[in-house]
Amino acid sequence: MSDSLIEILPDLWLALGQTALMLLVSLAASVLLGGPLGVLVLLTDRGQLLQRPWLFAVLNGFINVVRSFPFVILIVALVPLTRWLIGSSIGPLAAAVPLSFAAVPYFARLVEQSLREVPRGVVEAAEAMGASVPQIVFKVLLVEARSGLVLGLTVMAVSLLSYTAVAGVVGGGGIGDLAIRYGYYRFQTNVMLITVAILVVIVQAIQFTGNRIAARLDKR
Amino acid sequence: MISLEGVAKSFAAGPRPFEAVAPLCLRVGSGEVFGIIGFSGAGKSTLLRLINLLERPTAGEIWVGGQRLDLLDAAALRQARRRIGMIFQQFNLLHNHSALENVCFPLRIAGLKGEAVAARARQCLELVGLADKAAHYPAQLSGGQKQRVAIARALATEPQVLLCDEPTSALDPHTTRELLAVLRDINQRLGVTIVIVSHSLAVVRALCDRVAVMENGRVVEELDLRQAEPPQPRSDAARRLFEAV
Ligand SMILES: Nc1ncnc2c1ncn2[C@@H]1O[C@H](COP(=O)(O)OP(=O)(O)O)[C@@H](O)[C@H]1O
Ligand SMILES: [Mg+2]
Repeated sequence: MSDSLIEILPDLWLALGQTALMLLVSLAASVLLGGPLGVLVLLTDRGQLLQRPWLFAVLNGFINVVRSFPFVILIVALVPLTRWLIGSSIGPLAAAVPLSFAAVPYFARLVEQSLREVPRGVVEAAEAMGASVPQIVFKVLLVEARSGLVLGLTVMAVSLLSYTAVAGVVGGGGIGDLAIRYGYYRFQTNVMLITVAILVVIVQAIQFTGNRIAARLDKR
Repeated sequence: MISLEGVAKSFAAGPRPFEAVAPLCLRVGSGEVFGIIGFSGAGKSTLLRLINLLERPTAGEIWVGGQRLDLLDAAALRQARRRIGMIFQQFNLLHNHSALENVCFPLRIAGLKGEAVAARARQCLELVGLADKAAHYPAQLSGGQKQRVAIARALATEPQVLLCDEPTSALDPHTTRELLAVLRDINQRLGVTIVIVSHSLAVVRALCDRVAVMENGRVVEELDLRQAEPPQPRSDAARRLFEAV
């Protein structure tokens, strides 16, 4: 076990770096693009502050359609876009494109759900005080829903981690790819066990950190 | 101070619109405490929410402090709302904000900054007797304390009018009396005009100068409670309310 661990150590560091890169890029994309999308889909729904039925239908439909694609298909379907953006369809940065594409609507949905939990009356109280829509979004909705948003981000980070394994197989690299290369193709079961154990530890760490931060932020 | 002229509100519901408030006229003088009483579903909340345009009227004119609100654009309406405080049955405080931060909120959204904000907020908490709870979060406060924070928050921007939607309905009788004393105090010391919705005659009697009795979206009777002799309700709804005590 320890021999094979030392043997794969350089590969392991590289793979961890690749996984981290894929994860960070797609998380950043989901927060920067999925966050606003989630806010907008909520605000345009019937009975909400910016009620726009057709815009809601378009945004909501987009989220559903992208989310219903199996991830492997998304990777293949997005190859032209990936080439255009990154200049290549291989490597962790290239894999981050379909990952982000899947993550954005996923996070948008999580954001929308968290914001829906904010009681209607709290929003109305802000309206009655003369708050504008941006003020209500940034000072009421996002603040009141912040622990739910952190938990949503946590759930998504864990899902994305397992997506990176899929992306790895088609050229993204990363820790999931390592597990399959050594464990499946070279029958080095112990290497596969090590990588799986590392994945388990990472997932635990993400979930633990997310839960801690969410609890800290929650004063309800 | 407040004048509703031929105001009505219908909700689109099913094939025919549902008339929650039938066309009515209502005037509330400056410094007055005006009650709106009636059974559940009578349209009291809708009428109250028309005053600060949380509900848009389907007919009529809404005047507050000499300004016609229903014609204002969004920005002007936000300005006007800063002069109209509101409190609710469910308090509607920001749960992730401390009591002090809750009271700072309306000042911040009005664009105030710096030391003045917290100073004014502290002053308002003192006014409702909660200066010592400034750092507490709503979850750490009792119902009566939460409502007092809500009152402090509503008063932060020095409104001329305070709208109250069943402010004591989630509170026990003792806390209700305390809260009514706070409201009376605010009315007398600050001269704030109060409109209070309630289904409880005891609440209205303890606080109001005049009361409108509502039933099925109509004001069926207005009673003056300032007179020495007990009011003589003529409408059925009013009689039933008075008997229920
Ligand atoms: N947004 C709405 N859409 C449809 N009907 C409503 C809406 N708000 C209130 N109503 C109806 O208007 C009537 C009066 O409601 P409300 O003013 O809340 O009564 P009250 O406060 O006296 O209990 C009720 O029958 C209620 O169902
Ligand atoms: Mg009501």
